[in-house]
Amino acid sequence: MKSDRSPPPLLKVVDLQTHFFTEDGVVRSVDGVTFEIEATKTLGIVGESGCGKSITALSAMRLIQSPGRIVGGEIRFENRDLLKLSEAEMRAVRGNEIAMIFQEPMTSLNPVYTVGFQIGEAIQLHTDLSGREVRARVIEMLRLVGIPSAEQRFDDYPHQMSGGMRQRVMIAMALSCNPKVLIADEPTTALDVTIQAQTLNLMRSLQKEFHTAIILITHDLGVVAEVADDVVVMYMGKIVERASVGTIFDAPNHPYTVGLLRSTPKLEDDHNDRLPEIRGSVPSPFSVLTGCRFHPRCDRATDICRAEEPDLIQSDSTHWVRCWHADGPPLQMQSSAPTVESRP
Amino acid sequence: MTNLSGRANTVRRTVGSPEAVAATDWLLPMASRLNFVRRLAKRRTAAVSFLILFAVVVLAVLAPVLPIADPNQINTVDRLLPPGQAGHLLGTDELGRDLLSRMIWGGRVSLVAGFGAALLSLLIGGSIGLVAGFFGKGVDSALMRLTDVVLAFPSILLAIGVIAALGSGLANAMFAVAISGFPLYARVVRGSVLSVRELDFVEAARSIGMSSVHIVIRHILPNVLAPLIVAFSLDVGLKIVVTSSLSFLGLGAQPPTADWGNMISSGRNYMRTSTHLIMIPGLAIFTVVLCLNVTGDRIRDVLDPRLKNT
Repeated sequence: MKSDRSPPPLLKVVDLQTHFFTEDGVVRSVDGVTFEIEATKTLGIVGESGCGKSITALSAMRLIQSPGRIVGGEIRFENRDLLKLSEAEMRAVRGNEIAMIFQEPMTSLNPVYTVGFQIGEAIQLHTDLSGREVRARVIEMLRLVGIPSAEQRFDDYPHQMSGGMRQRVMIAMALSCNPKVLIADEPTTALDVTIQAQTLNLMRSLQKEFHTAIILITHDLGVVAEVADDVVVMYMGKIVERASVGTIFDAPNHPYTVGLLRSTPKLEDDHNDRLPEIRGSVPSPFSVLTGCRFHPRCDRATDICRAEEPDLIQSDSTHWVRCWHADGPPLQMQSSAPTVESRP
Repeated sequence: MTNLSGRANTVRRTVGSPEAVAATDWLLPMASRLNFVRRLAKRRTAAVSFLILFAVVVLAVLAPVLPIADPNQINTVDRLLPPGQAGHLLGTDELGRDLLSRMIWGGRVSLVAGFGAALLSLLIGGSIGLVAGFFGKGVDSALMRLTDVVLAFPSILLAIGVIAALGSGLANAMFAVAISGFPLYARVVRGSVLSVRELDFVEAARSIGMSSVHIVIRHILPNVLAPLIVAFSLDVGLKIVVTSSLSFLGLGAQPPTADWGNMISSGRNYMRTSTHLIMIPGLAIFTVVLCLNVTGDRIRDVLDPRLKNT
């Protein structure tokens, strides 16, 4: 999907900084993140647990709770800086223009209300529809997300539905006010594999219908390959690589991205081989690291990596990498790496 | 999640056709309420307790129309009659007033005082707990320290103090008892709010643009209602005892108004000769409180979603 004229981005996050002020010190969960997304496009944000991807999403909706705080940056949405809006103005944006679905469909719905009521609540918050009109709209949304006999299901309580059904309800709720941006925080992680595919397909078809931009947060590269147009890879609160989905999978240029891709099991692999892993583990968020944040785990690390932090450098029109050695020899993709060992 | 099918069968839609549904009714499945009563009655002791309470309440409500004597009619000839006399089923007191009639009229006062004080406690304590739990930090510390101060007082002593300031009388006694009893609710509600507010649906509610006040009332409150109702049902019994104690001390309902507490108080002078004067109101308090506790226990089980099918 290449087009020459590039429309202004719908949502643009510039140098976002979200820190958590805990008793043990400041955690820079999101430390200077910049990305943008256009209408009807899907942006994948990938990274390990704790890399700041969920916090980035919550920051975009200004849902960060104490002790966390957005300390800097800009979130431009249709020529407004969301960080400068009042809380009341922000409430009018949430759900109405930017909506969110969460990882755990089992707990994201209030157990004491019917699903119809809860979707209706979202609609009532942002429109002046009457009770009857709200009901009609809710049933239409339930149909759209593929819930059979929607009219009867309207009066079901969340515990009467399966996880996949509930995630559909969450999607219906998020899309009920026709938002321009949908933030999906690990929407398929808690679901069975077959249901995952259904849910992703549903999100894609609804995206076409509603022209929604989707920010998809996940640690599952398979999901990203399936649905994303652009990918942002995060490590310890920073973007380490940003590119189109094709580039990320075909020509990754940051050792962390390569490590992530290598540690994904592939069918053609010899099953007696150990799955390559990224050595070491994520350092404590309180630790003070000089130089590149990835250097303790990086095979490419040299003196400069230990001394100075690299910038996110644009290597071509759609590819940014944060690495001192980005223009070095291409990284090994196949698992002939020295970390591979055979099982006894 | 073992309860899916059972509940699904019982909470099926009895909601009318969409056309018949009024604008506000589109969210209330009525069947679940009937189901609640049915499950409440499933345990025999609870069913019996509930029936006894129901009978007591009906008697109290119907007191003005029942064919019973005037509770304040003094008849010095027939004083201190034992129970079982013609015309005086439960006998008479030291002034010859019909005891059955005084029990029924007194029950009215005791029940109103008990429920009223408990309800007032619930409103005060519940609001404090909700606000403290949801907003946390400074608000929480301030409100909970206030609660601790009240909790540190012996409740009768505090109630007597409040009455000393306001003057005696049933309304003041109720208020005094309510003040001394609110920490229970504040603690119960705050504890539940602390766990409920961390659940994902609260975040989801925020993400659709809901305000904090709206979230507290619509999403947090219904989820802390179960422990609140249980606390209430147990507390009504306690409040009946405490208001009766105040009446016993002469600080609650004033003579000649009957109330189970002051009936025991005036009957204690004749404890040796006419035991029924203290036995009957004492037994009434005991029975009502016991039934309230048993029913409250059962309500807790019924409201717990994990015990849905029991």
